[in-house]
Amino acid sequence: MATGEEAGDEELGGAEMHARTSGLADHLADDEHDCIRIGRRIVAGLHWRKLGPGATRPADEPRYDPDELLGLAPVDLRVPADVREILARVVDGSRFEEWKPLYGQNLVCGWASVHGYPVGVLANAQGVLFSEESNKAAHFIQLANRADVPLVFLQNTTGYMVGKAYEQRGIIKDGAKMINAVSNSTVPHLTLIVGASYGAGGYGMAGRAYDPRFLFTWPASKTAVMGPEQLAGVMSILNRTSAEAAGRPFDEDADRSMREAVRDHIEAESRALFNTGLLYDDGILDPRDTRTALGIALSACHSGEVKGTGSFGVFRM
Amino acid sequence: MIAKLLVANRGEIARRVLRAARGMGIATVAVFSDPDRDALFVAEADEAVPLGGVTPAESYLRLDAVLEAAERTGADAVHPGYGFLAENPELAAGCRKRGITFVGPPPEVLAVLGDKVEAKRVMAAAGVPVLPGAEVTGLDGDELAAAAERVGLPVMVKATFGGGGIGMRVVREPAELQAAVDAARRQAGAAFGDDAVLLERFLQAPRHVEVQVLADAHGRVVHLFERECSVQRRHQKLVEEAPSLAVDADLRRRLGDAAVAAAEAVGYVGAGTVEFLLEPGGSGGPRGGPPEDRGGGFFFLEANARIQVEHPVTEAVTGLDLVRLQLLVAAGEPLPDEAVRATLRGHAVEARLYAEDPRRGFLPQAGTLHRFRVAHPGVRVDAGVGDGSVVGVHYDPLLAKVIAHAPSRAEAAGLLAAALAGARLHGVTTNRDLLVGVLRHPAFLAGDVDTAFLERHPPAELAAGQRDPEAGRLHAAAAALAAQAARRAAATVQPTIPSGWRNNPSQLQRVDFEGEEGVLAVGYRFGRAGGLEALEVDGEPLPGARLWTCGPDLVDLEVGGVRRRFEVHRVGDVHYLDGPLGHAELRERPRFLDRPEGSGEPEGGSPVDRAATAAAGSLASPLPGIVRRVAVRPGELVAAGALLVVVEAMKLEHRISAPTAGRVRDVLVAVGQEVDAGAPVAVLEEADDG
Repeated sequence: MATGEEAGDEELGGAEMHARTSGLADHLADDEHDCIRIGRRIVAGLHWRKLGPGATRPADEPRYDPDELLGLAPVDLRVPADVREILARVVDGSRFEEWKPLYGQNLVCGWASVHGYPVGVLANAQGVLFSEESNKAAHFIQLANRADVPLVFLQNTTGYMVGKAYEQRGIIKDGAKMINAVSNSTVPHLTLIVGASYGAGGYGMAGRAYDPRFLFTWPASKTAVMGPEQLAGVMSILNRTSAEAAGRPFDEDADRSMREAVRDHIEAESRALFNTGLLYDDGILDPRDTRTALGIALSACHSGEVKGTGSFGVFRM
Repeated sequence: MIAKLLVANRGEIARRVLRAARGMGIATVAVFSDPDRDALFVAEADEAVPLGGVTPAESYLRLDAVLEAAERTGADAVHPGYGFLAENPELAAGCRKRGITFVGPPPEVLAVLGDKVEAKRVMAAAGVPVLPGAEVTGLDGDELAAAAERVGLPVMVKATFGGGGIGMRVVREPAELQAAVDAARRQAGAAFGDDAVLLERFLQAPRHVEVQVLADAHGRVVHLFERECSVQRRHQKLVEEAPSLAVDADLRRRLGDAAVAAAEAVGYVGAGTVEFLLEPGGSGGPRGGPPEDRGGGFFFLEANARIQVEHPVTEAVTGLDLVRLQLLVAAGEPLPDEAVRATLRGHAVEARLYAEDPRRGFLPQAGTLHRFRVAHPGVRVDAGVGDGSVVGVHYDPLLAKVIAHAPSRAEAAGLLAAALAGARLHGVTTNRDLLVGVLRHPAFLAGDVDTAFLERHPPAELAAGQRDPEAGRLHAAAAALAAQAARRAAATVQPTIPSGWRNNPSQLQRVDFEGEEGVLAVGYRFGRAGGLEALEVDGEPLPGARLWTCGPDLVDLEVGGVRRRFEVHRVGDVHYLDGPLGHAELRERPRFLDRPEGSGEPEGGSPVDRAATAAAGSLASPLPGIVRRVAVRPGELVAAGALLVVVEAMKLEHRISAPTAGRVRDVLVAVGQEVDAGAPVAVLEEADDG
């Protein structure tokens, strides 16, 4: 068009022309099957090799039946899930070497392996992260980086503790240590949201925004910046405060319906299916497939070098 | 005693003789042809001498080379086995001349027995009943017809020298006589170097009974009872047994006496066999015919001055080692007591396993025997081959003899059939199914056997046997599952991830096999815990499929409430299966059709389309030049890759070949013609007959 030349589709940019005449195309496939055949041949000749150390531990099956994960998956997020029971149905031989089991007990940390790949695990035993849990996590993440071991985050958190006493005890400063560690860590991170993923806890536990290599969810999990009730409550408080300041009368009926609307909206948009539709995750897993999916993901991680870092910048003290 | 024995043979009999020699502390020497350089018998001998050559005439039939090998290795004895030089008096004479012990009768005896006419004359004179016959060497036309009339049609035409059924023909009409005699002469000449032929009365469906004799150098002759070799094909023995059902104690005594008389008549030394034809109806008296018929319903056929292929059945029922006895007698020892007082114990049946295809006219088969295992408790296997042996086309296609011995004939036949049915025979088609079909046939078990057995019961039907209709589907399923296990076992990444795992499963894993029953498409899926979740063949689920164990070589699969173990062996894309439903050979179809890029049409496009595309593309001259050669004519059928036209350009010859098989529709150029680049030179089309 631009030069006024008249040309047919094939002579201008057809597959035959590019394969035989212009030399632009490397291969000419007859159809989709042929294309896959040629593609496989090319990949077979890529001299591809994994850089990571690969699986180094026995990859024996868990001693507990993974089918039972269906009963262990959190459904009512107000009820804590037993992460040790979950781990016993995911990791090799149900072996889990817990680290600092008596300190910061709301966060379970420890060493295990999945399909022979060693991993460090951080798992929310109780939904709330306190200063102790934050410090424990920051410490553990540094250890994994020293040992060049990938980290698996098992999320079921409602966030960092709030309240006067905790603020005064420095929850922000301690939470910042954990966030600092997660942000600077260079070993592969795999995140599995088994239950709740709310608030800053979701970030600290290597949520989507913290770029884990893979992030999987279980079907009944919820992901949101705030819980529906909490957000509705905060909105209500803000409205009430604003009304009082302006000397307006507060419409209790409107407030009730606003709260319901916010709650329903957040509730719906925090569901795993909604989030996966936005590509926030790398897939919803049948809980029974967790071990397999983690194994494949770890294998993919080991395609590259698995290397931790020693430089985390400055931890807020 | 013999110190070092040269075995002038190959294959199973060479191994058999070597085994006996080893058992007696005798050193051994093998001789071998070029194709046999890796054969088991060569490796098993202490020393081996290459004879060179490929055909028997270039190798095992070279008398001077064999004798020279014996001298070079210092062998003090030569065992000729059977066939080749076994009954050649010149080998025996050559050995005698060099002071080497020949394990067999003296050359004079071989000369008499090797001349069938002379042998018959001697036997008749010694009172052994013989069939009417006539030497017809040099006779033609009317003289030949007259000879045939004297013998009485139908007649058997056979070579005077040699054996093994070579050249044998039955003539029922006078008109067929000349052609049969001419053909027999040609074959005899080619096989034995002597084209003498004779005619002999042909008995319709006679039983073929032979008596084993053993004679020492001190005049002692004993017989070791009879063998029956009634199931034959083209006069080649297939199934042999001892004792014969048609022989009762009285007939056994008379046959034995006749055989001993025959051996004594010629001064026989060593192990030999006297063959008799038994008239149908068993051991009745003479029934008319020419005056030579004097026996009690049996006729001397010929004497074989060698160890017989089927000697193991006699060994089984007597407990003797005939090759050991041969070696003892050759060393001048008297017959030991156990041979003189031999008794019959139980029943033995031998089957000859050949590399040939009974379903395709017994065509000899060649190739690599990727696996050869015939192992069954209580069954003897005399094999010339093993795993990985190469079966060539130059020699007898006998792979092995399998022998079962049991208290009764039915038990022995059953045992032998089971051993053959369960044998692992991969890579080369054999007559195994036919043998199993014969051994399990009601007529065979009822003793209704004679030399015409395979005429009444067509080999192809016997070989087809009674196959479970589900066998094909189950074999294909087992092959797919085993291959899957093999791929998992060989996985270098994610080796412990469940086979075929998908986050969101939809399609089954699929693989197509080509087998005797056509294409079988297998679909399967494993669950997250590694359990089999779906298994189907050609879209039909296998009912109640349950996988007990699944490895690369063994699949333990339950279908329809029955659990079966299938052994799987893969060589390239061929899967060999063995199990309770028999055996199968399945070729895995490639998932993607490998073809040159730019060859045209999508998969499934018609050959016409492809040929048309090819005509427009590849059949053009690649550059300007001069046509130097046109290799095809219009209408000619060509295979893919066949040369069509040669164009010379830039001092180089460019070959234009057929991209696919087809018919040449047009040749557009002539030799000497100048062509431009891209100029079409020929047009190919789909052949009418596919």
